Amino acid sequence: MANGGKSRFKRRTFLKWTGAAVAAGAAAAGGIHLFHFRYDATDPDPMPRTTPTLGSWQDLYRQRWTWDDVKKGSHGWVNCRSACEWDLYVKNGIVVREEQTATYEQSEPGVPDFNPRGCQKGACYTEVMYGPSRITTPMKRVGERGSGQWEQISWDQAISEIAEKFVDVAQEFGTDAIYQDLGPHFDVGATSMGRFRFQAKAGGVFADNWGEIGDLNFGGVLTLGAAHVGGSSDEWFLSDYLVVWMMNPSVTQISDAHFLYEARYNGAELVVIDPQYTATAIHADQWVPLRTGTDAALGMCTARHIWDSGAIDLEYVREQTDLPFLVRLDTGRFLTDADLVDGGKPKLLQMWNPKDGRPAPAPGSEGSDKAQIIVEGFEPPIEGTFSVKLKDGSSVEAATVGTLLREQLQLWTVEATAKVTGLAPEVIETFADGFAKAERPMVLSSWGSNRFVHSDLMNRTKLLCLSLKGAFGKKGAGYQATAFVDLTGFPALIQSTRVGLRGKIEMLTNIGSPSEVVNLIVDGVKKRRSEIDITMGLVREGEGKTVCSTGQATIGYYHQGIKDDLNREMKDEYPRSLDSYYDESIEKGWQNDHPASGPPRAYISGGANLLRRTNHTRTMLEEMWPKLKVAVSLDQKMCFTGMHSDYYLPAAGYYEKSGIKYPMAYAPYLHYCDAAVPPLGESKDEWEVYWLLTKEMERIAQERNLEPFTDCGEEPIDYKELNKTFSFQGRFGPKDAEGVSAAIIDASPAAGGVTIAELKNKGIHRFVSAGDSIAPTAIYNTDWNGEGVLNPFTYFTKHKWRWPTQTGRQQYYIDHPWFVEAGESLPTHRESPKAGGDHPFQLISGHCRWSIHSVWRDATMMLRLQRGEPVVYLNPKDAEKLGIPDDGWSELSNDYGKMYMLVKYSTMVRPGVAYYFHAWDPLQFPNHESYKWLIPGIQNPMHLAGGARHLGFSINFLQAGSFVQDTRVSIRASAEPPRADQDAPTPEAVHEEVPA
Amino acid sequence: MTSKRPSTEVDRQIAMVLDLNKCLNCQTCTVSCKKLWNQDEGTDYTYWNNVETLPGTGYPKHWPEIGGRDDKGGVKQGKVPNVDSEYGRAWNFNHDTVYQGKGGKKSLKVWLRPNGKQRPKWGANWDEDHGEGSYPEDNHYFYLPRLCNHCTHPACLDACPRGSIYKRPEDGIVLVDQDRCHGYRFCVEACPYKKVYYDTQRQVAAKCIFCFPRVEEGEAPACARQCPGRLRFVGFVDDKEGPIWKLVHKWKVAIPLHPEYGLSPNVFYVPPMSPPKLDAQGRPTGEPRISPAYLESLFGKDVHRVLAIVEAERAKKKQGKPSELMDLLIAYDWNENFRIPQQGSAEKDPLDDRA
Amino acid sequence: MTVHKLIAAPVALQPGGYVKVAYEGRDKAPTTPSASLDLKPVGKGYRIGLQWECPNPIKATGSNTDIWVDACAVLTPAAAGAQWITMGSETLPVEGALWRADREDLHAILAQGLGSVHRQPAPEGWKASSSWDNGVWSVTFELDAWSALTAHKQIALAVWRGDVQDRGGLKSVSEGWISTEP
Repeated sequence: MANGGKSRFKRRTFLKWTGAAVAAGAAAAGGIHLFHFRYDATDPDPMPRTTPTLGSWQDLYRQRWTWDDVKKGSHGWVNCRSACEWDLYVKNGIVVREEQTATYEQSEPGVPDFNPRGCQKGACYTEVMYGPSRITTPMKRVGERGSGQWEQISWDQAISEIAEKFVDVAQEFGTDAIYQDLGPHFDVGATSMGRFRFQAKAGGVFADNWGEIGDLNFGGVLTLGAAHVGGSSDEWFLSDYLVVWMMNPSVTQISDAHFLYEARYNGAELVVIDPQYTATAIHADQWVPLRTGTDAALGMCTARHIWDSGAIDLEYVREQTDLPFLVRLDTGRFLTDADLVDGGKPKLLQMWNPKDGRPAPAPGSEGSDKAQIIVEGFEPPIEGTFSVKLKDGSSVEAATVGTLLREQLQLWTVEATAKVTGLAPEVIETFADGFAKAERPMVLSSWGSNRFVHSDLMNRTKLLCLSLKGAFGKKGAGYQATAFVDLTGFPALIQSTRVGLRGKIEMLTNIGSPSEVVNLIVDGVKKRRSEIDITMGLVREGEGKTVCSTGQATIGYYHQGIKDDLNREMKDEYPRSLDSYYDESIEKGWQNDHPASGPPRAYISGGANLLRRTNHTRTMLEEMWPKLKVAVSLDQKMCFTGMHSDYYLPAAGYYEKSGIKYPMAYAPYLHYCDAAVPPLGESKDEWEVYWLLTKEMERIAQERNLEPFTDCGEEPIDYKELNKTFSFQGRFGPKDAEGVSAAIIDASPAAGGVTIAELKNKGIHRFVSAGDSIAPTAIYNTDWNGEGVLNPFTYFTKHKWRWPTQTGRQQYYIDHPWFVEAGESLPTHRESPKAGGDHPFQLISGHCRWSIHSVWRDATMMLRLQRGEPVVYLNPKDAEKLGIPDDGWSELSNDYGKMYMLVKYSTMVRPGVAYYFHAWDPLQFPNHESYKWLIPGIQNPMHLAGGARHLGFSINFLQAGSFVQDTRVSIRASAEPPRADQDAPTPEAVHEEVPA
Repeated sequence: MTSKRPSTEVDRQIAMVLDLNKCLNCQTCTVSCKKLWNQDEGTDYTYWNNVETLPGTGYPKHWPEIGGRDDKGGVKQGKVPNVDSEYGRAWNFNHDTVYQGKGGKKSLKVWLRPNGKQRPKWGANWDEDHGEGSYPEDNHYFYLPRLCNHCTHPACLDACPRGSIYKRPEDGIVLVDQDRCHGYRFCVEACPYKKVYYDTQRQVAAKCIFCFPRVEEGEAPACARQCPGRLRFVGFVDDKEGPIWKLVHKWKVAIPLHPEYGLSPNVFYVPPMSPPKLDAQGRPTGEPRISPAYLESLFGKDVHRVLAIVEAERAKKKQGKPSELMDLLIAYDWNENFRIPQQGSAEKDPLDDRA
Repeated sequence: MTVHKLIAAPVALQPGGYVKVAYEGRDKAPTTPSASLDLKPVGKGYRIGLQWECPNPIKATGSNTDIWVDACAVLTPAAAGAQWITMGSETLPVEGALWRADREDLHAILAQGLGSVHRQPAPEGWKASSSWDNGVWSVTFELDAWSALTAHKQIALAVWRGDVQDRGGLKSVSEGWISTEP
């Protein structure tokens, strides 16, 4: 590997032999030439690196840094948002190590480059790949589910039995009884194409797991019409006021965190708002240690200060937010055209026209036929209360959203906020004032910001501060909540019948009827709908037509056996019962109820370890899991979910198959995963597995002469042609994973025409656009062509297209009757309810640094740098009061049960918090019961709302979530849990050798 | 076969600077080094590079108390750390038992854990994130990555009666000649940084080799190149165009750890800033959480001067004024962090003709 | 069989700056006060038996870092006039056999001054057997030939006690060359 990427070959002189021929250790075979070569990894013809015959101890070391070949790769479907490219060093057919490629560039002068990208986990994936939990032969259970009793079987037998069971399930229960958790692990290459396309074409329930996992930013959905917003991480460097608000980049955004600390050196102020003194807080200028769950209070106070101190960007707010929109004070609903005139449009919202002295339609709002938000002829006020004449002659008072909002904000004085947050007034003032005075404030909120039941309110207040400052669309400012570049080919090809077309056209021809296509084109030409509008609309329509989609948490609500518990938990939080909200939502079609026949009956895991992650796991294991007729794990390694499966299908590891890392806006590059070595043992890449599965299901269907199913979508699903459909009319065979990846890239304009051959050589390729916005991602920058930092939302702020919300604006008033009734129309603060009962500790989690989900959780190399087993972090003072020593056992309990965990002392933890890092597998706990046994995973009924443009279910959009951070527990010291194998000899004795 | 003592004179000295204001404790450096050099049974417990949470016990535990130098630079007896209680053993696990449902009574499940009848006594990163202080007033911690300092006056070189440890004249890298070493471990005792280890299988001393096979090819050590925090710089101390000379000699903001040992380390640190303490009412006081006295105990009196310079230069940037120091630490072009010409070449350094 | 008083090898002579300061005073008393020697010519070679008291034997170090094995060695001049206490010198080397409790095979050693000991596998005809019993190590060297000993007729002894960190120059040695002539 060479610095600077220049091609260099240099012959070295002979290595001089030193010392005697006694080499302590193995001696190599003779005959290897004695030259070193300077080596360039980007050279298309990389030469191997060898060492001289081992003559000295130095040669032993030199030999370790040798290789036969170098391939490019990454960790394809792992659920990490950072994205990194690696050089994979292959020696004797083994990937001996990996090292970051580090060939990224500066986006623009004056901004640091992205190098090197890649963390300790990536640096030892080979430990997982070749580690003790790796599975490489198909297995079938012979004992009970969970007993760990397996027999090895052939692929033929596995596929044959599984296919038969899947077809049986489809026949007996309907195709939507076939269930996969479609995340959080997925890539946008052949692997996940196999999984997702199977699910779509087999008519399985397309269960979105984003809400269930707790990562979905509902505040973003409700405010901006998009959950995942943000730009490239080098944009962070350009901010002058960085607010890390419910995020921990030092731990969870390892490849990008440096931009924060470099920004500090560039003069930016870094604020970290977190009850815990995290690894990010240690580098802050301000650490704001607020009480758990009171972030919305701080947000409201800051917004009030921005407005009151005159820092509000009035013109921006007038144009880009719903603050000028009129709300009826009698109903709390937006004033609409239908209120004012007979036959008026019920969704056409209104602003006040001061020239005419009456309401005027708001361009770009849901019922408007204008796709742009430019108001012509008058300036709508953002504050004011007006008397409005309705169509029946009566008058009502209507106020602007701005008036109502400001009224609400006035409650959040510094004193009131100090009381709620526990912060000193000075800390609040310093923070708020800094925000108000900043030129480019930027808020970073990550998955961790979405795990309270009232996270939506918290995030709405943060967004409000940014809106008032005109931050969205401004380079170096705004909200960073993880956006994705649109690799259009991936979602397009899930649905497609054929390949060869590109992007939007693909979608158009596969989803719309000819007349629909014509209408859409006309809409675009006449600017009745924007480009992005059209494609997003296609997505929604397509989903409705071709897949049975729902949120995974909704499936859990109905079938996991948690209904009573969740209803009880939310009893006092909202005016109606959770169940009554669900009933209305399903009845009105705002959320979907699948499977139609009842619980899922066939399950296949893509390696995301569903049972590890599921909240209230006990009920899952007792209620929903036993009803599965067949449970399959298609996974590279053993885990809790796999232990409870009927079949294990060994998946090829990340370095053994073609893949494309899901494309983050953070580093706007396509990251390609090449197969450095063939799949280990009998493992297969997922494209092949699904190809074989659909082939066998097709054969069985033909044998049974099955009629097509009509369970899902408008198109009948004919299993007699399942493989033909799956394989794009036979275009791709079982071994064509690379071809599938190539087709995806080919159909993605953002990839700029890069070929697989080029990607195998370079690994990465900078995107040339932010994509077609087919998926509901949220970059919305149609100007970006690959140069410069990628900052979002200029589509709206520069080109004035309407936002994908009901008002067509950044929306702070939700007029859905549920929200009005619950008092959440406007953002506000609500206390975190005590889920699990009135217990003194709040169980708070963060994403861990030592694993990506559970993939590295049991890796020996990682465990040795921790304590070997799961731990719960307590402030030493709390632990001492409980009489638990550091590394002592504790019992955690609440109304749902109890479990055992080791305690680790940490001064970073707020007293009263039991802090843990996530993703420990239940197999790592006594009784195989993790903290998930104590977490009910409460749901917020407001997220079931619908009936407005940005309310209602679709993938990555509004749906039931499953929230964990409100959980309360009691803690007490515990004796060491009994070890089942205490008396049995351990498989490998500890190296505790006593001198004989 | 003579007992001539190795010289500490070198033609050039390679060095490293670590900026502690960027460390994430991701331990990518630790893992990079481990995977490359220390996967064998005899070195399974060793981490030539480690990252510790300070204030804390460090790895090995309480290492500043068991070294071979006192705070006046005088020699004292050091201790070879114990693998169970001070380094932390490389635990093995019971994956097979757990995943194949073996062992144990039916009613009690075997869970994944380190082998042995009891919990491990210690580990290489045992007190990660523990820190010190009272929440929220003054609780604090920071991360310190450590490796062999390749000292100008190495204690290990001085300690070896056999002269098995030497400095390479071309770059000053300190190496154990493992063909000559007899495993006495006086070097392990003597190093006050506890950065010489003992390979228990080959029975020789083993220490950071500054990735000399890579350095010879112009490639930075793995710990430096693989650091995603971008906090490391590598180059020769006499290279006036490079960041090492500028940070160590021009700006003098990169200073050694425990200079009082008198060994003149060639690994330097930019010391960490920290957010302010809070008083009993939760208001920020003017003082940083990491006390200057504590930093002085680590880096010497120089640390106060250094922090003042860093703050002052940062303030310039806040006012929109330029600062060479801040630009150096920002490290806009990552490749510039590593300036290592290929060794043994009489030709012009290929790094010079990069665009 | 003769019993020989052992002294601590002088610490001040140790090369480098560490051992002589760190272990100053250690040489006031030997860690093993005496050893018995039973030297019998056998053919061209010798049978050399060594016994010494050792309360806590260390037969192997395994994966531990901070223990050392028990060992003993016999030494003879490789050139007339070689000094035992300095382990010979550049022009007047010494040579011998090293037994370690964790190895079956002997090392042959050659030294040209302190810190210069060179080890290599002993010749095929050099073997040792050992046992530890009731607080006493017994080690028997069976050397099929040792020309240097035959020529110079002088032998020195060294014993290392692992449990008190003897190794290298920290050892108990015979007071001087012991004559092999009766």
